[in-house]
Amino acid sequence: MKADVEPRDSVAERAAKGGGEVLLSVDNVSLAFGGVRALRDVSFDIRKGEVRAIIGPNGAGKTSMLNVINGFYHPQQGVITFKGKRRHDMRPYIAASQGIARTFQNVALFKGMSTLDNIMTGRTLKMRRGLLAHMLHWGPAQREEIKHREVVERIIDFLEIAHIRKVPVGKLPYGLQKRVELGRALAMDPELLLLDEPMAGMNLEEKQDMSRFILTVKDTFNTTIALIEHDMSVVMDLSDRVVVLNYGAKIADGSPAEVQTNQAVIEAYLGVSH
Amino acid sequence: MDFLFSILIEPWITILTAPLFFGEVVIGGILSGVMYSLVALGFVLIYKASGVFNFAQGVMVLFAALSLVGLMERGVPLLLAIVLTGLIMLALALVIERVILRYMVNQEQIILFMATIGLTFFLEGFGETLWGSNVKALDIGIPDAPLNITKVTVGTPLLAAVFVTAAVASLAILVIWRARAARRAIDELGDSAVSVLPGPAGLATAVLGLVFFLARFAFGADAAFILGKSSKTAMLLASLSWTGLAMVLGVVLFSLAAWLGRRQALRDAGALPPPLHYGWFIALGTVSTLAAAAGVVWAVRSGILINSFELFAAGMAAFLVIVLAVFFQKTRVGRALRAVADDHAAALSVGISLRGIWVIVWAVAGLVALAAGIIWGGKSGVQFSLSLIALKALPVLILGGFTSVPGAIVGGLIIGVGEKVAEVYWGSALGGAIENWFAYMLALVFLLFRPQGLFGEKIIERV
Repeated sequence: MKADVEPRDSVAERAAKGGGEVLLSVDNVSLAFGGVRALRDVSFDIRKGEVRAIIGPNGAGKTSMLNVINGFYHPQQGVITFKGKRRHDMRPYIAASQGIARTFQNVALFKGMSTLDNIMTGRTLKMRRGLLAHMLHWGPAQREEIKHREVVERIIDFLEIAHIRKVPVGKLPYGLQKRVELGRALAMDPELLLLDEPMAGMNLEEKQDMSRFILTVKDTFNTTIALIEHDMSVVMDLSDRVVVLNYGAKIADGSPAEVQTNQAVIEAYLGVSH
Repeated sequence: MDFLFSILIEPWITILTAPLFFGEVVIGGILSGVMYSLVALGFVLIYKASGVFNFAQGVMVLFAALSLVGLMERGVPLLLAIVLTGLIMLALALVIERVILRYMVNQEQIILFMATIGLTFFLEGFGETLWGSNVKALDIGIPDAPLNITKVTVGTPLLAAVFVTAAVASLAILVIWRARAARRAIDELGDSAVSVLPGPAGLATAVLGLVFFLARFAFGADAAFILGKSSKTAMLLASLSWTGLAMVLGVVLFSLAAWLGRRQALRDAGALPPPLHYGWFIALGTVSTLAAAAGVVWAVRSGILINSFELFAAGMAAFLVIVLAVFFQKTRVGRALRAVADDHAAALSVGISLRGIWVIVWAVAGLVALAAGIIWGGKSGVQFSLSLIALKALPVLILGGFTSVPGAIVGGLIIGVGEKVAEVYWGSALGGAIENWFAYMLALVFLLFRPQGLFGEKIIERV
């Protein structure tokens, strides 16, 4: 976890400043599955320390965009620049080891494992000791396990899920599963956190909890967040900048207020009569 | 009546009048059960790590044994041949990952399963092309004969002591188990959730037991008194009444364990003062288990015959199990393996390399197949039918649970012992050769009552 805490700018201040340096940029990315063009020539950037929302109607290509960023999909065209390094496409392993963590639209947890073990898997890449040392519970390996366990326990406390530490996550209600998934992503100490509909299927109270967690993550861990969300009030409250996709193409990009009044966006959401 | 007598009474009389021979049968069963476990282990490994039932495990056993014998036939000494075969299995794992699994990321499990069927046919042909298809003998230098120990008579007191300590051990284990269940229930649902009174099934058992118990008095007085002591009907009724008594006692004992367990759980939760520490039950269980084991060892030393080859197999299996259990539960790679089994995409997103994991898992499964190949090949020769022992592993897996390493062992033991005992004592009454189907019947019964197996992960389905 990073110690230095940057005070959170208000949306207006950030818009005025023009944001921090660019952490990730996507340039002219196109992705097609056979004849279906999921992404058409999309470009946008994510700046350090901001919450960047990706919105759009169903099937607009939002999840495809996240999958491109963390390497599940390989775009036919375009360049992805992360931390100043240009790549034609990402690989999941590279994304994970470079500091990109994500959650999934339909929770993807290790159902048979406990909450604790699930979040511990997030530390996989940080653990260095060899297999044999771990099996023998050899000194350094044990210390390593304890060290990572401490980090995980802190995350568990932060997300207020201490009471379900040992419960197999398959047994948990949906809202808690989403929280455990966030915990697993946080355990990776990510620089960029991709959240695919973190509030989907939640009630109001759970949504408020999740919003609180996301803002705290942004402020205290100084993590940059890219977020897909359907609930517009959540998007407007949380995000600093919004990019809008429709049929795989970018139709708007800007502050929440700008996007809200954009004619193309309104048409995409409400339809247009000709 | 004769038939009932021959399956309900006679075997028990035989067992009680010749306990030493019974001991031999049980130990023989345990040892051959361990050999089933070895094969089952390979299945569990791959199932745990990729959620796929590896149809090719049996053929991997055959392939390992074929390679080992092939190398030895070309003059390679045994130990070196084992090491070389180990390397071949590692290479096989690499090739399987490179050629098959790499293209299966995020696919349905049934597709992976079909791929392993394809692999089965390939390996079968490849192994025989490489090493020839004739039956070969595998000699690993351990005689397939009973150990030579001088016979000494074992007294009844010793056997009684063994039985008593075993009973105490099981009560203690029952209490620990109930305490855990109770604690879990209290955590989830609150104090009142844990009932110590027997449920409907328990009550039914108790009532049925009572009826059984009273059956011998159906004639107005004890049946033995009316029909004569040696009458088969009287003996049947007598044993029925004893069974009934045992059933009632069992229900009482179970409730007692539940009560003790609940008290322990409440104590752990701090709701009750701790006059008796939880650890006492563990200590009691451990001590009496050890005592029972010591009794068995003593009985063995006093003259029960044990096959040295099977003893070797048992030692090897025990070693493998300990190593694998630690591997899965205690290591980073073990955690990653379990993660991959549950969700490919999620595992990728936290930076677990699927390819690396798959190579590791298939390599380990290959080494386990080698171990099984050494044992089974040494026992029954290396030939095509070796791949069919995979079929014997199926009931073992159903009993033990597909996801549990200890389950594979316990399942193997139950099948091994059950099979041998059933054959020796019940075989002639049921027409003989029941060893061949007994395991499958047992598995069928298990599927009805506990589909996830003894140690399997409970199937959780949220609706």
